[in-house]
Amino acid sequence: MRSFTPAFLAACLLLLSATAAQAQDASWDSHLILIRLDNMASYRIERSQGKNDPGKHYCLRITSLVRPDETRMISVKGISPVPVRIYIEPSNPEPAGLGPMIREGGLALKPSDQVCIADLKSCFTSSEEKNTIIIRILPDLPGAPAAFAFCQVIYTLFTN
Amino acid sequence: MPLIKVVTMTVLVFISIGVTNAQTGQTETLNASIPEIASLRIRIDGNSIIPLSVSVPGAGSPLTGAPNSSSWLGVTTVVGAGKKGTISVRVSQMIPGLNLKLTVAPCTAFGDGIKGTVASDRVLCLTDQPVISDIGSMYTGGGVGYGYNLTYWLAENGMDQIRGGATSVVVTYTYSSN
Repeated sequence: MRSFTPAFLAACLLLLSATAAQAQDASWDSHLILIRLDNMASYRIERSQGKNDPGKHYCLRITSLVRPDETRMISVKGISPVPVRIYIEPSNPEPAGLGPMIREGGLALKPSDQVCIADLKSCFTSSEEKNTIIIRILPDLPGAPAAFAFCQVIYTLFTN
Repeated sequence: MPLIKVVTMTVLVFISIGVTNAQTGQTETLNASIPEIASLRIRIDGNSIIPLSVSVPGAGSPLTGAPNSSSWLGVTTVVGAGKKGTISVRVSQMIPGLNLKLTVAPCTAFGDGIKGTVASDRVLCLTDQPVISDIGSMYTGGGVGYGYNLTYWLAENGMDQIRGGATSVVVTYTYSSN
């Protein structure tokens, strides 16, 4: 029995090849992802709680994300009834993006801001105490008593 | 008896007509050429652009990226005899300090055919990487909720190189067969 005419078959084949050609054009597709990175900084300073000399030093945890033209710095100022110095030990390994910081010799605490960590870019230290930046505050007088009055220390993070 | 004769004659006449029609029918050879077909379509739930960002769980912690699973890849393929299809992915640019990662989930149940094997998590780069391989002739259905669910997220890969701002990345999926 005749079901298809040659003309009908030709039309079907033409349609099929046209559909195929269209489909081959769409053998790829793409879309857009918009990545938005907001500049931010989150930092915290707290007394050590670990097994190594707990309470004898402070831990600085920081996560920073800067814009291309930004840098940050952390300054310190304070008041103490006796002269004290601040010593900072970078975490080991030192995180990339953490700028130069006061090293040997420390920094004498003054009532005005002094930079203790400069040129801070995008970085993170660690959330684990053993890998944070260690801050020690020690008497600046040889033979000073181990226990001395409270000293108030203020850390400030600036963004340029 | 006359009734039986009439019925018999009628049946014979109908059979005769059928045989005549069958004998007068033509035989035609239909050469159907089915070309290889590949049609890919990405559907995104809600928006036409996928937003990604990072957050900080806490001071000192690395950045973490929230995953986005709002896009779906719908596919229809017809492969040639003995051939298998592969879908690859690439991006238009890299983000300094960050990896753009992709997970392709196995195809949803809708559809039919040989839907291939999805690869494990990929870090997207500028060159094509296969994400679905061993594809046969198949269709997945189209639209949100059909096909392969695509999950993107960002992972830190060099914190000091990361800079704030907005960047757009084009992700391209390409089908090939061999």
